[in-house]
Parts: sequence; structure tokens; C-alpha cells
Amino acid sequence: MKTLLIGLGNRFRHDDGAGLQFVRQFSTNMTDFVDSRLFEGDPIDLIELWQGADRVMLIDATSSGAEPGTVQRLDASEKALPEELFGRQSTHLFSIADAIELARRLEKLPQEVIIFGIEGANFSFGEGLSGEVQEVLAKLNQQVLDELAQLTASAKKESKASA
Amino acid sequence: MSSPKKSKTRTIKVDYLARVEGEGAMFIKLAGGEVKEVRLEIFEPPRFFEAFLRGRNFTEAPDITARICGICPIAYQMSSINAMEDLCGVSIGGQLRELRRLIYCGEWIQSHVLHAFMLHLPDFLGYQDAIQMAGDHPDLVKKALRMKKLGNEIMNIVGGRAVHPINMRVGGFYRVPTRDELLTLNDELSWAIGVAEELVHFTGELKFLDFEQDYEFVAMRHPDEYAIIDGRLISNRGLDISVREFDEHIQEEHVRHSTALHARIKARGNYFVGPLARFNLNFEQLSPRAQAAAKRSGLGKRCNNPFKSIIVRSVEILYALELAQEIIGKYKMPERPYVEVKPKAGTGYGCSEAPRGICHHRYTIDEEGTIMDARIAPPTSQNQKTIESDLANFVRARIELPHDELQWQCEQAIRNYDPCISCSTHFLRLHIEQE
Repeated sequence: MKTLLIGLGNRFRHDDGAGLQFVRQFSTNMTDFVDSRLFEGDPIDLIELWQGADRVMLIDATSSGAEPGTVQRLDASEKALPEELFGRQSTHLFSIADAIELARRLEKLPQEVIIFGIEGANFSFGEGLSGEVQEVLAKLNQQVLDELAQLTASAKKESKASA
Repeated sequence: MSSPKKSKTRTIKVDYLARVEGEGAMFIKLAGGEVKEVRLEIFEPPRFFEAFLRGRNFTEAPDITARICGICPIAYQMSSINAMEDLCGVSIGGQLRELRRLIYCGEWIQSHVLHAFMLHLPDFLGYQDAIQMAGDHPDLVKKALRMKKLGNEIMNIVGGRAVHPINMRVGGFYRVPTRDELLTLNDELSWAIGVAEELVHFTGELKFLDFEQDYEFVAMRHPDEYAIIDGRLISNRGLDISVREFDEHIQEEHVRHSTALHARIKARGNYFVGPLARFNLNFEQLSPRAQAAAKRSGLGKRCNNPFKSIIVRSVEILYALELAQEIIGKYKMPERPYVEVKPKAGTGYGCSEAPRGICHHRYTIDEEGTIMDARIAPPTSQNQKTIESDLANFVRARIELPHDELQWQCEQAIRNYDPCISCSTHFLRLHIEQE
């Protein structure tokens, strides 16, 4: 089963671009098992983007009051994301949490939806990530690779068992 | 979320999204049965981009301004391209111009569908949001998503991608699509035109709050088309100016409570841009089918109730779908994707009809093509004073309503404008204070 890795954000809002930067510099030797995409649009279009994918990993910035650079891993496959991390619908746009819940309601959510949230420090206008955020990207790269390796190993085991 | 009624000061506050604090908020203060203050506070991205543009080459403006908004990148690209071509004395016609109209149709379709059916419609059907609405009306939401996808597809094929398209440039396109590529959209367009017609009828049946105001509407006017990508600027109170004369007639001013500039017509005051303005000023230029659908929905030729903008957006969706199909039907791939444009020192002006209304750009470049100055007037900041004045009038007539009900109706009144509060932070807080 291939994983779709999606980096979200806005590169002109400093740390909001953490997910994009992560995917841009993501390095893997498991290219058979993972596709990656950059996503800067309205989160509602995620529903279209992940059509056909069984497993999605979303990498996004968070603003929860935690230490900048803190990575939180959340599993939205079965239950909704906490609102304080990824927000609710606004007058103008859908949030990521909304897109996930709408997809769940319409049975358009991939089987597995994992979100890695990177706590940002600076969301003002401008380019470039804060030091703490940039520093954590390499560590997160390893964490994502470990998770992919684990998932791939257990998928192999399952297919052997069923053979 | 309201505090107990017996306290002297009552406050209702809604945090739509606590992602980045303090960027967009509506503040209403009531005292002694009077509306004392209404403030729309917005932080506006174009201010940052204006600074970012200075020192860049004039050919970079479309790519940079496309980043201002993930929903309406074409509007920013088109207005900046118009300004640069105006400045350099170039006029683009024929199929290249038609492709520009086509990609703009894609933007109108996806933006209007998102607003009308995912964000605005839940208000009228009594749902908190589209997620709740999808539980009872899954087919309606699926149709809306499919139609939005079609708008995105048009932008993909013509623009290279739907979000922040990369294919538009000063002088034309980096690459033009083949006729076969465009024809892949045809069946889906036929489906969508039928559905859009149904949706105009459906929105016409909704129940609307009674709120008619005497607005000065401003929109672009083209002699032969329902203006989208170019034209003059006109109003129902006699404004009739070229895009170049914008600064002479329209004043943008700083107000203390917002980083966005407030716009007003110097001679008269606030004005209203967007679908309602276009519809009221250019109704006769809509397609016969869109005109007929509007009439059947009960709209008539004029509409002064912003709550009914959901019907007008549906009419414009229908129109944009028809226009897209017409352009594709007549399309002949141009021999050259663009016309070479040489920089010329001076100031250029460009405007186009973004989904939310006119988006006006002004640039000054030197003889090398370096941008010396940039000024962007997006539609929401032009509507800002009108939104505030609407809110004051709206609340004045409903001051006796319980707070929760008043708050809910105010949110709806704000949503009528499809406001681009801040193009990328998804942020609006509503705050009603009663002394």
C-alpha cells in the first residue's frame, strides 16, 4: 500500500510553510512506497487530492502554545482532530479539520490519515522558517521514514499470512 | 458563549479559528439600545506583497501576486498582467484573450461554488456548517464538490495547476493547451450547466432575511461582454471611468482599526463590488439562459439584498460554465503562446473582476523593467466600509434580538460578502459588546 505524503502551508507566512519545506527536502530510499505532494490551496481540495489513496500523511504547522519545533502526531483515521490545533471553519475557508470531517461524512476519507503537526513560532508575513522549526525537520524526516518502514513491514507480514 | 444576561456588559465572542491570533475580527458595540460602533478588523496580505514586489522584474508580478490568494490567484495574475501590458503599450486579443477568459471562468466556478454551496448555504438551511449539511444532503454536497473540481480542472489545463497557477505571463501564456486537451472538459461542462441551472432555481426558493439597502454598486463594463477580464469601471450613480482613472476618483485611506486600506469614492463615499454589483450593472450581458434562470428564480434584473447574493453567485456559476463551453467550442490553438513585451518606464493600471469584485493594480517600473512601486486594491478592502455600514444598519433593526440570535444573523450578514478576511490565515472573530 502506497502512502501519500502531503505538505501543507503558505510559504509566505514564515513557519506556516513548515509542511511545504518538509516535503521539499524529504529524502527517502522508499520511493516505491511513498508519493509526495505540496499543497497550498483551500483544504477542501484535499478531498480531491487524496482520492484513491489508502493512506495519507499530512504535514502541517500548528499553533497550540507548545514549544516551537514540537512535533505532534495525530491519527484522524477514526476520530476528529482537536479543534485547538487545526481550527474550525471560517467565513472564508475550510480548515484541514473541516476537510477531514467532510470527507468522513461523504465516505471520501482514506483508510488511514496521520497528521504530523509542527509547532510554529512566527506566522507573520515573510519567507523562511524559524530556527527551531527548521531544526526539527530532519528529525521528523526520520520519524516519518521509521513509520513508513514499520507500515511496510506489517503490510508484508499481512500479505504473507493471507497467502 | 454569552455571559449571563443580568450583568451590565454582555459580550458574545466567536473564535472561528484560533490559529494566528488577532488578524480578522468583527467588533460591534451596543449601548442604550443604540449601535455605538462597528469595526471590521482585517489584516491584508497585499500590503506585504506590495513591498515584496519592489525591486523585482515586471515579468515576475503575475507569479508573485498569484500567491496572495489561494482562492483567486487568477484575479491577481490577470490584473497585474493587464497593468504591465497597459504600461508597455501591448494589447492581447484573439485566442490568447479567450484563454484568459476561460481560466478566469474556472476561478469563478470554483470560488463561487465553494462560497455559495459550502459556506453560505448552511446558513439558509439551518446548519452549523457544510459538514452537518452533508449528513442530510450528501448528494448536494457531492455535486458541489464535483462542480468545484471542474473549475479547478479548467485552471489546471489552462494554468498548469489550480492553486497558484504558473502558466500565465505578461504577453500571454508560457504554454497554450491543445484543442483536444480542452475538449476533455466538454462532457463535464454539459453536466454542470444542467446542475447549475437547477441550483439557481434551488437557491431562489430559499428564505431570505428582508434587508434591502441603497448601495452604489461598482463593476467593470465591457461593450460586448459580461465583463470579467477588462473594461471600464462604472456605477449606478454615474461613475464611468477608465481603469487608469481609479486613483482620481477612488480614495484609499488608512483607518486606525485595520491594516487594510478602506476605499471610498471621493465624491460620495462607500461602494459595493462583487457579484451583486456585476449582476445589477451588466444583467443584459449575461447569456439568455442565465438571464432566464435569474428571472425564474425570482431575482428580476436588480437585487439590493446582499443575502440574495447566493442566487446571484449561482447565476454567475451558470454563466461561467456556459462561457467556458463556448470558448472551448470555438478554440483554435494559437501559433504563438505569447507576445514579446518590452519594458517601458512608467506607470500602468490593470483591473479585473475577481469572484469577490474588482481587483485593481497599479505598478511603476523603470526602463529596465524593475518594479519601483506597486499598489493593489483587492475587493474585500473596497467593500470593507460597506460591510461595516451594513452591519450597523442590520443590527439597528434587530437590536432587541437575543444575543445568540443576533450573533448568528450578523455572521450571516458578513458571509454575504464572501469576505476575504485574510487570504491565508482563515481567520475571523466576531465580538458583540453590549453596555
